[in-house]
Amino acid sequence: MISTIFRAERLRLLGSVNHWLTALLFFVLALVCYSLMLSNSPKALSQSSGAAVWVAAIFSILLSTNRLFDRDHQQGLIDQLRVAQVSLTGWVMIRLGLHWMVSGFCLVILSPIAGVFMGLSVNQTLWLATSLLLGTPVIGLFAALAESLSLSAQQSAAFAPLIALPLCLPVLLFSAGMLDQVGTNAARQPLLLLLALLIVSISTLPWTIAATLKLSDS
Amino acid sequence: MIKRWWRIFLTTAAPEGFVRVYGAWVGYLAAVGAILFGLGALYGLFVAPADYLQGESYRIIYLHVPAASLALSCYSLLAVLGVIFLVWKIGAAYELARAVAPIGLVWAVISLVTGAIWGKPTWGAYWVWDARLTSMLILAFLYVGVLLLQGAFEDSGARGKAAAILAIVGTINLPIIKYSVDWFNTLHQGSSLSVTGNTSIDSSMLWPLLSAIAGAYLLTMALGIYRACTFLLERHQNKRWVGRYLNQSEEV
Repeated sequence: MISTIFRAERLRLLGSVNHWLTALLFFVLALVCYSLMLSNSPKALSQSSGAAVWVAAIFSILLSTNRLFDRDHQQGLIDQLRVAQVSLTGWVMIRLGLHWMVSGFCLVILSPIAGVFMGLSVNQTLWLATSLLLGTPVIGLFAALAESLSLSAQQSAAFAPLIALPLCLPVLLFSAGMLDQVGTNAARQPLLLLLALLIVSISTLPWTIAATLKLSDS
Repeated sequence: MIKRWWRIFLTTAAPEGFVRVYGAWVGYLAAVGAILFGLGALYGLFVAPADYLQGESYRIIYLHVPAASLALSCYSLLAVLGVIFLVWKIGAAYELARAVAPIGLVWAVISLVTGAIWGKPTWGAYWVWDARLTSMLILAFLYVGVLLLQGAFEDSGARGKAAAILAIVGTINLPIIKYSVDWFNTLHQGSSLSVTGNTSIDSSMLWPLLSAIAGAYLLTMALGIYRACTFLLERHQNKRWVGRYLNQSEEV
């Protein structure tokens, strides 16, 4: 059963290449624009590049998560899964895991390249990539939660990011703390806090999202 | 005795019990709250001594601290009401959450504005982007999210559930706001009040502050209950008890 769902979800991703590739391109383009605006002051660029990468990553994830469950909701897939007695939580985890592979994880891979182009040292880019590795799954989970919360509202697409962004505050604060002391040993503590946040959200949010999907379906 | 109070408390889960029991408190809560808040604010503004470091400008504390404290408390209340609504499906909890959410937003905005006014003479800037101020601003946006969700589902079967879930998940921000003064390097001064430890504030400033805080809490309770009662009466307007209740309160 799980392998069937896994295969179906993989096919879905292959079918929606345009959607998630757009989000990745948005990430690259946003950083290009930012660097262009600061091209006259390379020092300011390299100092602020960590923050810029983080903000671009968040917006890119929100963009790729947009309408994540809309079609399943309209076509009755969630109903089907419930009738077939498939664990909705398991399905959400598979869906979000695969979704993260093409959104957050790709950003983690892209970020060192972006960092080096924006004037960070290799050591600093590795710290930045680590913080993204720990932080992007949490942001993806919150974005998916916002999607599921606004699913059956009439103006859903408009305000899901508005709900997701305030929830990402702890991630932002911890990664800002990391960027503050990047490269030193003191940067390890915010990273550990990010890890704690990741563990808590992975163990609770898929279940919450599944419960929300059930609510909006009945 | 306790059993009797508990039984009365249980009846307040039903709309009629809620309106009858808590609706009767509104006047008293508002009166006591207004007296306490007024006394605290007037004493704080005119009688309490000036601060040795900040001079007269510190007096805005008598509005700033109650507002900030209530913004946090109202959000915690939203989360608790969310749990009550999701677990026991008590409609009164949802109406109370709908009543309290805008009040909490207003308190959050008041604390941000008074903080900015206070920041100019003290720090030399209206606004700095540090953990305490930013997290308070984010709290205001969380309130907006809850209000949006409450409004979006007003007439559907999933009424209030989405907003309740958001309120519960949003509580992850509360400890960060509360302890940001201690955890992060921030310009915001440390907490002067403490329930258990030593309070680093003179009693001539402390008592008016405590009085203002207590008064603001009571006023918020009165307003929240009043609004919730109105919502309940409106939602159940074609039930018989609403007519009875309204006739009774007219006679009195």
